[in-house]
Amino acid sequence: MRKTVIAQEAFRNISTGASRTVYLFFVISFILFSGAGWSSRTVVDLSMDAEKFRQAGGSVTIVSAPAKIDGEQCDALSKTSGISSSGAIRQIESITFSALPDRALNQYAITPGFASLLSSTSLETSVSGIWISRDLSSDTGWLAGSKVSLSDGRTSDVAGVYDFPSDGRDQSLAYAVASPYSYSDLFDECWIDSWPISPQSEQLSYLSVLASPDGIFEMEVPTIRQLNSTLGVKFDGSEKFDKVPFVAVQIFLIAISFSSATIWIWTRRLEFSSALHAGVRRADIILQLIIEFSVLMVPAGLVSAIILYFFSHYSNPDPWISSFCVGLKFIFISALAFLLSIIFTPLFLREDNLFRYFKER
Amino acid sequence: MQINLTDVSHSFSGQPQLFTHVTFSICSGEMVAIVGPSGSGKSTLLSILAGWQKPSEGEVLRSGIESISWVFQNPHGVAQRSALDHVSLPLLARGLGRSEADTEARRILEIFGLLELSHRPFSSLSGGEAQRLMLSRAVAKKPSVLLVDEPTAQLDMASAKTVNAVLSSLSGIDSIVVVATHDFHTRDACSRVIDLNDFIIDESS
Repeated sequence: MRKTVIAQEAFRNISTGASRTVYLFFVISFILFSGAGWSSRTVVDLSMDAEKFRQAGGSVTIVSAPAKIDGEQCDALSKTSGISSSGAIRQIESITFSALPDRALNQYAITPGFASLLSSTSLETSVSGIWISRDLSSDTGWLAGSKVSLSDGRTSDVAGVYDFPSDGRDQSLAYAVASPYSYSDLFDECWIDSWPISPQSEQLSYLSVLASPDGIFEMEVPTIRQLNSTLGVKFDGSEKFDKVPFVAVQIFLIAISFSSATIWIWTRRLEFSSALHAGVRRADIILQLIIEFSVLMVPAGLVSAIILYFFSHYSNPDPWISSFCVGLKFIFISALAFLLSIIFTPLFLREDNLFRYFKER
Repeated sequence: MQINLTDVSHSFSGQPQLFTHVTFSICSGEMVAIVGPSGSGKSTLLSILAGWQKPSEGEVLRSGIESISWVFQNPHGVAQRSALDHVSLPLLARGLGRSEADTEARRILEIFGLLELSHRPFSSLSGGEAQRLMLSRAVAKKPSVLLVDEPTAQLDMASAKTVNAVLSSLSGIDSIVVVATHDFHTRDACSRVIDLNDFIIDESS
């Protein structure tokens, strides 16, 4: 058959519905999307888990050495690769506001780096004022820019409000005030937010602890703890990713795609055996089937890719493209399995099967 | 073109002998009816003539046979495709372009009295029309051998009459035509009759 004629036959089959057009379109769309959607959402879920771990302070390591932490060195750790923010803190005299005269609140001196660790935005050293916790802000109605009166008659500006939810983390800062201080004083703790967490982060945190001239830590040995250990000591994204049964699902998807295409062809076996009997070459039938499949694959793939795009976007804390590409890989795998079945299944169609088909009818 | 059957016998495993020692020759231009009661092996003999089934015993020689067309008792086609598409397909398979194939297919459809139905989908054709369409498709292939299996078995009297008329017109074509039938009218349309009753062992005697 001429190539143009084969294409015409394929398009006529599609337009008349002889291709089982609706069945094929929905089967292709369903299979393409289910695999792609699952894989994409699995990646997004892992990103969300990682984000949850970070948001809950699981990635924050605290090195504690009372009055031995160099605030400037601690802040400088944030310039190290893998450390997003770091800052030092020490508890100072409590503070009492006029609005809450009966309650002396914990007050902490913090380095500018600590403020960015709390707020995820950098804080200029020139910005003056105190930082208050979200709970305190909710109770008093104070927001960034508010002017507050202290019980001793002084006033202070609220430089910002930080979130410190009750999600299992150390609650020392949950209802407190943090005041940025200069580097001149020493601090009690150095907080380091590192991602991904590596043993190196812990080692680096010691750099903020002042050592005696002979290199030995003065006084007691600094201690290390995690801000929030309720979600596990570490979040190993790649380990969790490796545990997802991507390969098994891919094999399952290949089997389903291959079988669906086989069923599609097998339900039309009489038509193809009859075509062979009419003198149509097997290669021409295969080419015709590939064209029919491709014509339906393009819109089905497009629809799947569009839905996949939204799946990759929705609630994804990371760039969407990585989960989209994982889903896209599943679309290609399914399409390839369909194609392989289309090439191999017609090899089992035989002209003389016509006689058997009619005997069985 | 010729088909020679010599001492052909056949039986399916575990079942009684269908026919024994069938011997005959058919030449091109001949139209032969194979008759016999139901279950006597008419369709099986056709499949042996086509080479799709090997006989249990005996020899089948085919000389000059290039292609075989088969028309079955139940007309089969692609429900959604037109009558014209069905007849064009074997012509397109021979390498003709679309317009040439359609022109030739219309000529054949006119011979078989189906031209007015050329654009109707297969599913909308009556049994008789569908059977005539299958015959016209088979003829379009220009086969060396045309095997027709019980063409009127599923049809009403009027439809069977039109199919028999078409079969009568096939006697002029340069092919071997073999029709398996138990319809007297179909048998009468053929130039020769082979009765399978002559090749069945009477186990009661």
